Formats: sequence, structure tokens, C-alpha cells
Amino acid sequence: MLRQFSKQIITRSIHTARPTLAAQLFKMPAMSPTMEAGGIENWKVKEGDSFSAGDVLLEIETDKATIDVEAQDDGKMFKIILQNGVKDIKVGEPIAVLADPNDDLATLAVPDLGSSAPAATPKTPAAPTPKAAASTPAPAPTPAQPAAEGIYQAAAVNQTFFPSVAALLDANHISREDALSKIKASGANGRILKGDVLAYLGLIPQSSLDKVSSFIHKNSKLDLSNIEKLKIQPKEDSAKNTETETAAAAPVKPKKNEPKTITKSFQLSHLLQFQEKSETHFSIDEYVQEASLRSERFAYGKHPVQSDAYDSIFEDLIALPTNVERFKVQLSIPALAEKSAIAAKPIDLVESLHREKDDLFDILTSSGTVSPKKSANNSSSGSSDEDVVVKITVNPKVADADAKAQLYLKQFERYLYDFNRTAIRTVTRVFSWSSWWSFDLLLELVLLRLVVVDKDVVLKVESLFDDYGFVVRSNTRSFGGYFPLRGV
Amino acid sequence: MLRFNTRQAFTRSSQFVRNLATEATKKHDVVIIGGGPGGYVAAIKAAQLGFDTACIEKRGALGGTCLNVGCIPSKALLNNSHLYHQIQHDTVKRGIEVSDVKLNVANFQKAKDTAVSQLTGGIAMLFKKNGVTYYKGNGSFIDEHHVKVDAIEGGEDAILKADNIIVATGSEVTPFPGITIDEERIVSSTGALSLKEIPKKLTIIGGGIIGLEMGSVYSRLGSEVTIVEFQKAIGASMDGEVAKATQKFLQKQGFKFKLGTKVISGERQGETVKIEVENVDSGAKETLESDVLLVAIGRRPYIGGLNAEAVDLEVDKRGRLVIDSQYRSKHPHIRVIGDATFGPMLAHKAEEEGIAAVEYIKHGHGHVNYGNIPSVMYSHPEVAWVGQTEEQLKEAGIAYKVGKFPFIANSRAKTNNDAEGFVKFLADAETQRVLGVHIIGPNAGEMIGEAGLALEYGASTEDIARVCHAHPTLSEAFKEAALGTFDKTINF
Repeated sequence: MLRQFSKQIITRSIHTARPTLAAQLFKMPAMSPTMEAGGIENWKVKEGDSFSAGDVLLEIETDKATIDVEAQDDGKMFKIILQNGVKDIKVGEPIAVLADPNDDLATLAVPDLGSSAPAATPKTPAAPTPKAAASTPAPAPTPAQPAAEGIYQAAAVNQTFFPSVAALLDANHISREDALSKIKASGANGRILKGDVLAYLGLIPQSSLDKVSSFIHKNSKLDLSNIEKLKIQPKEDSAKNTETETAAAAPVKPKKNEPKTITKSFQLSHLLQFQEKSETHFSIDEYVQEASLRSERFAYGKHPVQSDAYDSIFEDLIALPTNVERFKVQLSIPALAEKSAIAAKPIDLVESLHREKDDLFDILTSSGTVSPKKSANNSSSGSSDEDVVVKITVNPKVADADAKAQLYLKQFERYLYDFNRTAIRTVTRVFSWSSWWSFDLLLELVLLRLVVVDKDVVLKVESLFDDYGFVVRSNTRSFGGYFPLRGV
Repeated sequence: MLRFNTRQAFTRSSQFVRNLATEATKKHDVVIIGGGPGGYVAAIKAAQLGFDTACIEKRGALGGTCLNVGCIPSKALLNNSHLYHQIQHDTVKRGIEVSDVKLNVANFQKAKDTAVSQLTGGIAMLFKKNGVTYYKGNGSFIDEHHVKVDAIEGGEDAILKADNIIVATGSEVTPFPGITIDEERIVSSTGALSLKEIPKKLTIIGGGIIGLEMGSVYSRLGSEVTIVEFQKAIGASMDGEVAKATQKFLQKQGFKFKLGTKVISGERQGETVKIEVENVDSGAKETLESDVLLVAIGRRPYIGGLNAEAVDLEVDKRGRLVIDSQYRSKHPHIRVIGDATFGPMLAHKAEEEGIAAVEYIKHGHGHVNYGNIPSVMYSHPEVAWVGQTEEQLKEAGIAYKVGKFPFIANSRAKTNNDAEGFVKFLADAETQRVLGVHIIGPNAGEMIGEAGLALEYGASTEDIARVCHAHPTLSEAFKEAALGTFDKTINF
């Protein structure tokens, strides 16, 4: 493989030089991409000898092996510059001068050896020099050149050629074997690229190939050359620093392991208003307690990320059981509210339905006549004596604790302010769920006047009732006794 | 039933106080701190290569920023908002008349959450399947070979002894000095993913990918979007020409751009946010009023809770953990990958590094080609690029040729009536080796994959032009643009 490679060097030199220059420098060929120097073991031709393509010109000794260098074209040995046995000849150093087979050696001048540019023949004194120089670039980049180092490899034997490479080889009548042995590959894992073939054919300067190859090579690595290190300060200082920093960075992220408390106050005015209008009697204290309990239940029951894809198997794997304590609630209900509260009386009808006491709450919250606007300012800022103050301690070890606490607050707020979901809306909603039993139940409650609604609503419900021909069932227990309208 | 759960919760509250004496030391071959795209991929790969692997994550869900509050949720919003916008403005031209188009913000958000939870759950399944031990908690260094796990609920405190440790703690939103993010009116990218209503006016600090994507979402849903960017161009590392074209398309969609503009302050006043800005050149000041302000000036490495001081890990001035070319910190068995260290902050880059770091541990060699990491912006038209930009090539003094093909001349794009943008190839002037590909147009993000393949194999543009591309497809534009670098295009 290497032999053929060196052969090519000679061929190319002769071909390209012929029109303008008869005598030409034969330089120490690079036998491998990494070869930097070598020695001349033995010249096989003498000065003045003619040789034909395929003849061995000389044996070159590298650090690895002794390799024959063959000529591919016919020619004549004009002058041997470095004789047998000379070692450590750098790649690219002139070792001989070759001539065309038809040249008259007597009239040929030896090229100037000082500048490695070959001298012109006497017939064409000045002009050819630069051209000759340009026409004899080593087909391989000089391996010593640091920019191109580590880029070129011997071509991988089993590769499928790129279409561009196949086309170029075809057009230039280069066999697959020749290409694989002679063309050095700049692609990854010994892949021959179009540029490699172009440079090999001398259609583009080798330097262009080197430049782009090393540019790409450089970019394929992370640039770790100019790291400006920052010394981490002694432990205590840095701990403080990072603390303040992360606080500034992500104010949403509570610092781990330090329980976070949320305090929020809610006005009771709407509830008091509602209490006056309501046909059902209830105590504010009881209502608020129940609202809190239900909000908590709501928060725990609800996946903080509302999603159709909620899948208990996945949740088991990635999150905590839903019943791990996320937060603790402390309620302070003003005594003022109690004063105005009408003593709570158990309602016989409710009892007759065998339902638990807290169903009163369902009845109240799933309907309403008043829809007071949500107070714009219900945050902790303007808290007065008449407000319910909720203090939540969030468990810092649970990732979704904060989200759940927020869910709690949201639901609690709904219970205290939001009476605007009228019964009719609930009815239609329930209706659309096709949950006949709960629709049924609601109708029943409305008709029994247990649900506080406008007269209009009652009328509408009654007409709905007629339309669908429902039978009011007296014993709701048969449906599980569970009223599903929480937080609709 | 719900009530039962609640009561159980209270009885279990004793768990809240944890007995530290139960901490056990466990031994693993590889311990990975962080379960984001870098960490979880590294964990799975390590387990596949036969290591006893553990992964520590404190979020409570795997997938990191990308899956929980980044790439994935934003793409759900982008896709659905695009659909909505199309139904509103585009379908009529196509002979489809839809009346009464309404946006249900709650359900719109729900669709996003669906995608997220399906994907995060999937990773936990993969851990089980591959035998990765998953510790739910915060991982911090005790010394070079010991990592402490402070459990979140559901996890267990533990001390892990590890032969190899991979730090994959990721990044966090860079705050804007002086602007307090409340995630309600002044939001980061996280808050912008779940706004409860569509703001009438949305101002965004930062004209990078995150800002422009979130701007696209809300612009399509009816917000008036203003981008304030300090630089003179948008799109961060985008090719200059592509950035300009992108700006033009977005302007046509109603975006307002204030480039070369510095933000002085941003403050919430009740239900609005006042933003004071100043033109960098003229010094002219202006106050913008907005319903929501999005701060999207980038991300920074996050190593909070890692106790990196204990092992004296080095950081650079931008907070990145210092590594060598094999991701090793000053301790050869502690490696750092992803956003916490150098290189572009992209999920797919972290994934590649995760694999490579584990391969270095196993085989002593790994491979990430940093010259071939694609970027995609999921606006409409999409923008995608890989390799070098014209600006970078000019700076490096590489002679290059440009091949460009507009989608307006592509039959499929025309038929779809979605023909904005172009494909742009940058190839070496002499060797025609592909140096960079920049696409703005329909489906750019998918098409860039072909460019990545070409770059990885060192293809020349001729190689692409000689490959048969199906007709009629958008990818024909890709082929023609490649052809344009060394020959004449056929259809333009």
C-alpha cells in the first residue's frame, strides 16, 4: 500500500512538470502520514539510467520498515543528490533529480538545490520556476505541520464512497483499490471526503484542505482553553453566598428543609351576607371549619398537575403516596362571626336522608343566590379582626407540598367567597357528566328546597325534571350516599 | 374515600420527623446526581453497560428542567397555539370555515400537563426496566467518594459510596438584577408556561429562543408581544441573515421589537408591570406598560445543595464546573456533564455527554461532536441550524460558498400554502464540505437531522445533491440549496 503511494508521488511530479520543465527535483516522499524523516537504503537506478513505470527506484528505510519506491511513468535518473546510506532525511528534502525519457541529459541543468525550487532548463530560463514550485506540492500535507496533525488517516478499506467521491474517481479513472491505498482520508474513521480526492488530484491546493479540516477538527471539541477559574470561598462564606443567590435566582423555590409558612386572611362579609339570606341555618364557625377540612381533602385528592394522564402506577413510581402530610393548617376564626351566627339547627329533612352532618355543607356550597364579587384585596395585607386567618406550614420535604397548599387556599377561598355557581349551572354540569344518580340527587335536593336557589332555578329544575321524567328517590343511600359536587 | 385519605395523612405525620439513625451506607459503581436529560440518560447507559448505578433527583419527578418546565411543556403550548391561530386566521383561505372558535385556557394548559406527566412517568419506568436505583432526595458531597442523600418524602436518607460520580445538576433561570420574579405578573420561563389568562400585553426581556417561543405562544393567543433585547439582533447564536428573516416574519405576526435596548427597571404596580427601558445608542428612555413581564435572559449553572466545596470542585467565572475533555473534574472519578459545565445549554447536548461520560468510565473513550449540535426554535416558521454561521466562518477566515433555496419555489411548501423561509447551506469554497446549515421554514426542526448526518460524515454539498429526495417534499429544498453551493439550482 505504501509502495504504491510513493509511486504516485513520482507519477504526479512527472506528469505535471512535463510541459514546462524537463528536470525536476525528486523529494523524500512521506511513506506514512506520521513519517517525518527516513533514510536511503539503496538506489536501484544509476545516474543516466532510464526507467519505466513499475521499476523500483530506491529502497527507503523508515523507523518501521524498508519500503520500495516504484516509478509509475517512464523517465531518466538525472542526478542522485543523496547517496545510499544517508539517514534522517526530512520528508520533502530533495534526494534526486529526474528527467523525461526523451531529455538530453547533457543539456539539462541541475535545479538549484539551495532553494528547493527546481531550476529551469536553459531554454526557458525564468518563467517556469514558480509554476514548477506550485506543481510539486507533496500530495500529503507535510506531517510536521501542526495544524493538520491528527486529521489525516489511511483510508478505511470497507467504506462506501460518498457519491461525490465515487463520481470523481470514476471521472479520473482511479480504481477503488488505488483510491483506498493512495488517498489519505480526512473524514472520521478513515472516510475519504470529496476534498481529499480534489487535493489528491491537484484540483485544489492542499492548504485549503488542511485549513478546513483543521477548522472542523477544532470545532468538534469543547473549547476548554481559556477557563477563568473562580475560587470557591471557604465553606461558611460560600454557603451564605449561595443561599442569598438562590433566593434571588428562584424566589419560587422554597429553600429545602426549612418549613415555609403561608398566612392568608379571608373576609367573612360574604358569608355573613349569605347566612342571612339562607333558608338553611348554619354556624359560621362550623362552616369555616368544614370548608377548611374539605379544602384540605380537595388538595390532597387532587393531583397538583391536573392531567388526563394521571396514572396511579406512574405516580406510585415517581411521587409520594397522596396521603403523606404536605402541610398543616391553623385556622383562627374571629369570635365576631359567632355573635351574628344563628345557632345551628340540625335539619330534620337532612337527617331523614340518613346523610352525615357535613352534607349540610354540600348543600350550601353547591348552590347559592348571592354572587358577591371576589374582594380585590384578600391577601394578608389588609387583615382585620373580622377575617379568618389561615396559617399553613408547608412540609419542605415534599416536592408538591407547596402546590397542594396553594390548591387548599384556592379551594378555601372558593368556599368563602364564591357563591356564584348557581344551582342551574351545577345541574347542567352534572347533566353533562351523564351521572344520572347525582343529577337525580340534586334534583331531589332542589325540589325538597334543601338547596338554596332562586325561584327561577327551581322552576327550571322542575321543568327539567318533567322533561326527563325523573322519579324523586327518597333514599339517597342507595346511590352510595356520596354527594360528588365538591369544588365543581 | 377522600376523607379516609386525609385522615390517614394525619396519622402518618410521624414520618415527618425522620430518624437520622436509620441512614445506611450503600455502595454503587456509578452515582449520578441529577435526573434531568443528562443524568437520566447517563444512568440508563451506565446500567446497560453493567454498572451498579444510582441516580439522585430532588425534584420529585424525573426529566429535569427540559421535561418538567422547559422543552416539552413549551412545545405543547406552541403546537396547540399554532393550531388555534391557524383555525382562526388561516383555514378560511383553504376553504374550511370554522365558526365560534374559542380558547379554553384551562383545558389548553391541561393538554400540556398531559404530555408532561406521560413523559416523566416513562423515565421512572425506564429506570425500573434497566435496574437503576433511584434515590428521591438532594445529593450532596461528603467527600470524594461519599454522597449524602437528604430525602424528600417518599425517599430514604442514605449515604452512598461510589467509585464514580457524575454531576448533572443542570441550570436555573438567570435572574435579572433588580427585577423580582413573582411568577404571576413578572414571570420566568417556568411561570410563562402556566399563565392563567392570556395577557393583553406581554413584554419579554431577551430575544433568545425561550423569549421568542413564549412570545409566539401568547402572540397567537392574542397578546400584544414586545421583545426587549440588549443586542442589535435577535436569536442569540443564530446566523445573522436567518435572525433578520426571523425577525421579519415575527414582526408580520405582530411582534414588536426593541433591539439595542437596555432594561433599567421592572416593577409590578397592582395588576400591571412598568418597565423602564433605554435605547443603548440614543439614550432615549421610555416606560413600557404590560400585563405580564417575562424575564428570559438565559440560564446559569445550578449546583445548589451539592456541597461542591467539600470536594473542592472548581468553578469558572460563570459558575460552570471546570472539567477536562473527558468531563473529569480535578478528581478523575468525579465527572460533570450538561448545563452545569461548559458548552451550549441544550438537553440533547447533555444527553450526548451523559453517554460519553459513562463510556469514558467503561472503555476510556467517548464521543461528542461539539461542532455538530443542532439548535431549533419552534416558532412558525421554525428555525433550525447546525454547524457554523456565516459570522463564525468570516471570523475564522474560512472561504465559503452559500447555497440558498427559498420554500416559495418548493412544490410541497407551495401546496401547503406555508412557504415562508429558506434553506441555506454554507460549504467550504474549495472542498465543498458542509460547514453549516440554516433553515427557516416549515418543519425546519425535523429537516435539520439530515444536515447533522451530513456534518457528522464530513459530506460535501455534492453528496447531498446527488442523493435522491422524494417529490414532492420539503426536503427537496434542502437538496437544491446544497446544489446551489457549487452549481445552479434546478427549480429556482
